[in-house]
Amino acid sequence: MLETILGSVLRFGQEIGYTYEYAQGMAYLGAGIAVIAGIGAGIGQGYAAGKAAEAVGRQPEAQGKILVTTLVTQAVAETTGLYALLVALILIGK
Amino acid sequence: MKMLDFTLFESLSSSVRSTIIIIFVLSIVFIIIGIKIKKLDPKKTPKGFLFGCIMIVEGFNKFISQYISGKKFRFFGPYLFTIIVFLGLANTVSLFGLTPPLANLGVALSFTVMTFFAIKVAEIKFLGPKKKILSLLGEVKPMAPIMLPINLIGEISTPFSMGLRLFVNLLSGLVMATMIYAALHWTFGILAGVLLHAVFDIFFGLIQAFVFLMLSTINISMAAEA
Repeated sequence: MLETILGSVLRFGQEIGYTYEYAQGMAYLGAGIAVIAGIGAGIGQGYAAGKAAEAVGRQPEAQGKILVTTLVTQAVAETTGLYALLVALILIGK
Repeated sequence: MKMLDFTLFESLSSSVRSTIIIIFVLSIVFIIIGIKIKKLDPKKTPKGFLFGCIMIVEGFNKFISQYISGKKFRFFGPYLFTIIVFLGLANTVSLFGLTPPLANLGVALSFTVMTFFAIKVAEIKFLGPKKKILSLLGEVKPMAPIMLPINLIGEISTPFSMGLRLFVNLLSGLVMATMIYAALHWTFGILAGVLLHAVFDIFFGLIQAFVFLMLSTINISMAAEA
């Protein structure tokens, strides 16, 4: 499927010529593709949250410490998604 | 002489302007609190506003001393408290109609520089240069030429990712709020604004401030020990 998409994109470029609008459109497409990285951040954060819920269920008296640890680890897991968002914003603002 | 070609009173960017406003307000509040605390009678129970301030500082000290302790806590406690107060106000400042300062890359990267130097100070003060160089070379000595560049990159990437995390979080909130305000008529905009600012400013902003505090605490305590 990816080959068909790439092939059609390349053929489109050859037919109309590589203009500024073409580059702009490709930048928007790249921004959309870059944000796919959000899947990884979502899976990571969800896994951390699920494990935190399990830990609270097993040890309800340690809820405060578990909450702090969960927030920090989720923020670290979020980093890749944020980088993807940054790349997408740079591509859109180009 | 292209280098000297500048205008003296160029208008500041909105993020820098709100940073200056926040610093001004915070310094006035802190100076007033400091003067009042100095006049306080140690035999009487403090009341009202001052009691709240003392409770906040006490709670912060109790919380942070779980992660760093002793000399390190006495040295870095004021720095960490300043960071959490500034970030807590700076990330929620768009409730007052100002641009959040951390949505500017320059302001966010200055936090990177601050964290970098805080970690370096912790290493030099509590670890010593010799141990630091040995830890940069790695445990296995024959692997040192491979491990040294990786460890050097790691020295820079930790504060860099901390600054960028703040920047992109605040920027994404700003972009989304701007997009929704531009799309909606102002009557709906008021209704949407309640939800938008509750989520993006109060919730995410305070969580990011807290995460920055925790990460700097953990990084400083790791740098002082390992």
